Order: sequence, then structure tokens, then C-alpha cells
Amino acid sequence: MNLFTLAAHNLFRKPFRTAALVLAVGIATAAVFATATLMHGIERSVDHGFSKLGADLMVVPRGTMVSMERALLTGEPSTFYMEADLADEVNALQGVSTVASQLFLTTADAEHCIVGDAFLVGFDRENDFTVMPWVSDRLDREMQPGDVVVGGGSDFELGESVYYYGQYFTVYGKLDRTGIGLSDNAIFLDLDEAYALAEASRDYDDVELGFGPGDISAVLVRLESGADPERVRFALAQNSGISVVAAGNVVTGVRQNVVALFAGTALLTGVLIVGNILMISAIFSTIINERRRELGLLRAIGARKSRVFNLVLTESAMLGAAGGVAGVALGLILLRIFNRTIGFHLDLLNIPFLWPPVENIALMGMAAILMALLVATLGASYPAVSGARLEPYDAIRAGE
Amino acid sequence: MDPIVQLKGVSKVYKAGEEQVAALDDVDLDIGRNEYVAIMGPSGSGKSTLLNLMGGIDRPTSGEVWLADQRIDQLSERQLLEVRRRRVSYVFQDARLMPSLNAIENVMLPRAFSAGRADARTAALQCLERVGLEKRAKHMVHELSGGEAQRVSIARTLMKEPDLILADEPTGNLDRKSRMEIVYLFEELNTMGNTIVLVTHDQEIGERTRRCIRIDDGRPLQEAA
Repeated sequence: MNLFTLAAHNLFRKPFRTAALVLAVGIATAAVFATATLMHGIERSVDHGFSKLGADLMVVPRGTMVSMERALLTGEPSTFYMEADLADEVNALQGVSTVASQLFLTTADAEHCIVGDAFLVGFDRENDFTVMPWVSDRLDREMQPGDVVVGGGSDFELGESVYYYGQYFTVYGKLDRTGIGLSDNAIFLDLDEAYALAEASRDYDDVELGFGPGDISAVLVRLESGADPERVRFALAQNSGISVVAAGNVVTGVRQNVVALFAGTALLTGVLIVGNILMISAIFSTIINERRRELGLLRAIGARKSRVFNLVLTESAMLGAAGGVAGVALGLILLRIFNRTIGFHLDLLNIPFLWPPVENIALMGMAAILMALLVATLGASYPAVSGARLEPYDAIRAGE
Repeated sequence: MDPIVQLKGVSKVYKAGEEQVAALDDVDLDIGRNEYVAIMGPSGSGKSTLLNLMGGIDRPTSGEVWLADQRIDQLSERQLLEVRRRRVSYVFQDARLMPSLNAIENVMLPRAFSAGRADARTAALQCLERVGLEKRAKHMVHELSGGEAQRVSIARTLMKEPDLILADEPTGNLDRKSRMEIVYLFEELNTMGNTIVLVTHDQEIGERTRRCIRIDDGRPLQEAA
């Protein structure tokens, strides 16, 4: 017989009340855990994805900035074109370190393409800094003509054969998953082979790719260390035919969307936590009142005030821990059930999302359980002090 | 007589709003070691107050309370706690068992708050044997009769091997058969060397004790040996 068994016995004495309290703490914990997991997933995706993008600025044809941002974040195929010479012009600007051209095209929903409406990106392998450095899995050889690299979210396996406009390619590599749509969903092929696809597409009546040799869709710009992005943007703005997308602005935009989306949830979670503390405090005050004579007895047979205090806090901590574990389990189940829906809605809001690694989820689960424990002990602390302060004589005679 | 309890000029006044009520008025009383004493009197005469002062549950307004050679009315809360923990045991009218625990766990309860927890189960079983309830050790409180519950509470007092057992109307809620079982048990414990002071309304029980102190209006009236 020790404090823990006594506390456990007390909790089991009123199973409905205990279960209701565990559930209440559990719901608050589930809300905290699920929100934290989603926010961490988004934050990680933004950090991970944009650090791998490696470009400080992206130059696109005027009027296509929104399409570019959407293509970047969600991987939704977008096609817009400008002349490739622009890359040299950008490269010549002061403060620019490297430029890499990319060409965007979509696949046709026809028999000559393995998948319709897929996003193909032709990239300049010679100057590339956004694709090849981030290939996590690759065939055990050098990349060669006829090879493609697929995004981290692709179902294609290494070595698998894919075809677009009747041209066959081998999946040479796969990018690390980032949550950023472009790098997760697109299929990357050599820029010259992308031009060749345009030629090949002429064989089919149902297809019209709107670009020709010498066209590109975007110029990805890496600045020199210490270069002022605003100054380079200003220089680029002299060209009236282009728009400039700054990676930092996209990140800021994403974060603003996240704040808009989660502000209400965070507020509700805060209210749930405070509500839980107050509810536990009220219920434990009732419990102390119910058990005045018992606590008086404990004091009469030699229990110190601190032991009575600890007994009440141990009960609340057990409740909190049980509620915390139940909440994390509930949160995991909900996240699992709404896995696809969450992805879909975040996509609609241009918010990239990548499930955090298991160890991070486990850590957040532990933090959520710790929070539940704190909420429960904080809520019960005042009633526990009141219980400990009961004079044995008064407590024993309570109700007589 | 080797006194285990001494009350010297003890008064206890309670405040009831503006009014002051004297529960005990200048009481002098000695109780010897190994005595079996009944305190009798009408309701509100100060019997329970007297008992609570002897056990260190309550403090007198004036006067001295001695437990053997230790004056306990001036002890700090912590020192008084040690007295309650080691030297005095209580039996209450309604057994006061923890409903969430079974019989043996209730008996073990005093050890949950002091040293010597390792052999607590064996000692508790022995105490239950002494009150004849070893076979009910694992029964929950609601499965025990009123008399059995009171015997469990007596077994709980024995766990501490106290200098003094104080019982506040321990048979008040029991039928005659259970009442007599408790009385015989107290008599047996007294024979084995325990000092017992009990408060009772029951004339029959009072007459079976070795010493009966009658109290009214906060003052002992007379004693019947």
C-alpha cells in the first residue's frame, strides 16, 4: 500500500467521473497534439522544401507569378513561356551567382502518356542547383540521356520505364520528399529532351505543346553571398516582360496562410486548456469536500499535510497522464483518418505539408502528455492545498 | 497508578458566532496504563472533546494534556502528528474505512504514511487475525457487515501498536450481537495490555469497563469503578 495504489483506488471508486475527466483532458490534448503536429509538418516542409529549392529569386513571364507560386507549392502543372536568352541577361546582373533555366510542360491524357496531366520540368543539367543535388535515391550509375528524376511523392520506382508522347524514359532517381508540390510531384528531365518531346508531340493530333526550342518557363536565380535581393529585383524589374518571385516572400505568404488557418484553432485550444484547468479545479474541490472525513482520518492516523497534498496531486497527475495518453492516441487516430482531407485542404490554401518524422511525432506526443499532466496538476493544486490544510478534528466531524 | 494520560485544569471553549460555548471546564483527570475506561454522559456533554484532546486531534483552550511523560498540548503540528502516528489510535463510531480499499488494505493504511511498509501486509494479516477477520482480508468495505467493518477499524488501530486506543462511540451504529462482539474484543485487547478509553451512551458497555467516568456540562461528575 503506497500513495500510488491509494490514488489509483480512489480514481477507480468513481469510474464514470474519472472516465469523463480523462476524456475531457484527452480532447484538449488531442487538439494540442494534432495542431502542433500539423504546424510542425508545415513549418518543416517550408524550411526543408525552400532550402532545397536553393533559389533566392525566380524569374517568370509577366502575369504568371501567381501560377508560379501555385505550381511551386502544390505541384499543379502550369505552362508559361519566355525566351531562353533571358537567362544570360539575368546571369549578367550584379549580385547574381548562378542561374538555372527550367521549362514546364504537362502530359496529355492519352494513350501515348503513362499518366495524364502530370507536371514535367525540363532542367538545365549543366547549371542545375535545384534538382540533382537533392536526389536521395538513384540507380548505381551516372545519369544518361533517356533518364528522368521523379519527385519525392511519386509512385514510380527506380529503373521503372515511363513514357510521354510516345518517348520512353527510365526513372533514374528520386528526390527527397519535401512537402513542396513542385519537387514532390513533378518529373524532371533534361531540357533538350523536353524540347525533343515537343517535336515528338507533333505526331499526335490531340496534343499541342505551346513552346518551341529556345523557350523556357522560369529562371531560378541564386544570389551571391551578401547580395541584396531587393537591388537585384529592382534591376530585373527594368524588364517589363517578366515578374520576379522571391522565395522569402513565398515563405512569408505560406506562414501568413498558416497563421490565418490555425489562429482560430490555437485560440480554441488555449480556451480548452484553461477550461480544463478550471474544470479540474472545480471537480477536485468537490472531491475534497466529499472526502473531508477520509482526509481527516488520514490526518488522524498520522498522515502529514504534505502526504495529503501529494495524494490529491497524484490522483490528478494519474488523470492527466491517462488523459494525455488517450489524447495523443485520439490525435493520431484523427490525423490518420483525415490524412487525405488534411492534405487536400492545405493544398487548396497553397500550404505545403510534410508529415514529421516518427521521432518528432513521438516527441510532440510526449510533450502533449506532459502538458496534460501539468494541466491536471495545476488544476488540482489549489484543492490539494485546501485538502492538506484541513484540521483533522474539523474534517473528521464533517457532516455530523 | 502509572498514568498514561493526565489532564490538568483543561478547558475547551468553542466559538459559535458571537457566542462562546464551553465544551470542557477545568477538567482534571488521570488515566493509568492498561486501564479500560468508559466516558459516559448526555449528548453535548464534552465526551468526544475530551477524547480528541487526549489523542492530540484537538488542543485545549487552557490547561495541560500529558501523554505519559510528554506534554502534548504545546507541541507543534509536526510533533503532534508524530504522537498521532505512533502513540495513539482511534476507533470512530462509523468505522471510517476507505471504501476504495479492501479490508487488509484499510488495516495497512497507517503504514502507508510511516516507515516499515515492507512487512505491512504480514502485520496487517496478524491484526486481522486478532479481530477474527483474517478470512475477510480481501473483502471490500461494502461486503462487510457493520460489526465486521468496526473490527477492521480496530485491527487498523492495532497496526500501530499504540500506547493508547481511543474509541468514540464505537458501537453506536451496531446491532446488539455486533455490539457485544466489539465489546468482547476490547476486553480481550485490554487483557493483552492495551489501554483503552471509550466514549459510549450504552450503560451496559459502561458497566463492563473497569472504570466509568460520567461527564455533564463539560465536567466529570462521578466515577464508578
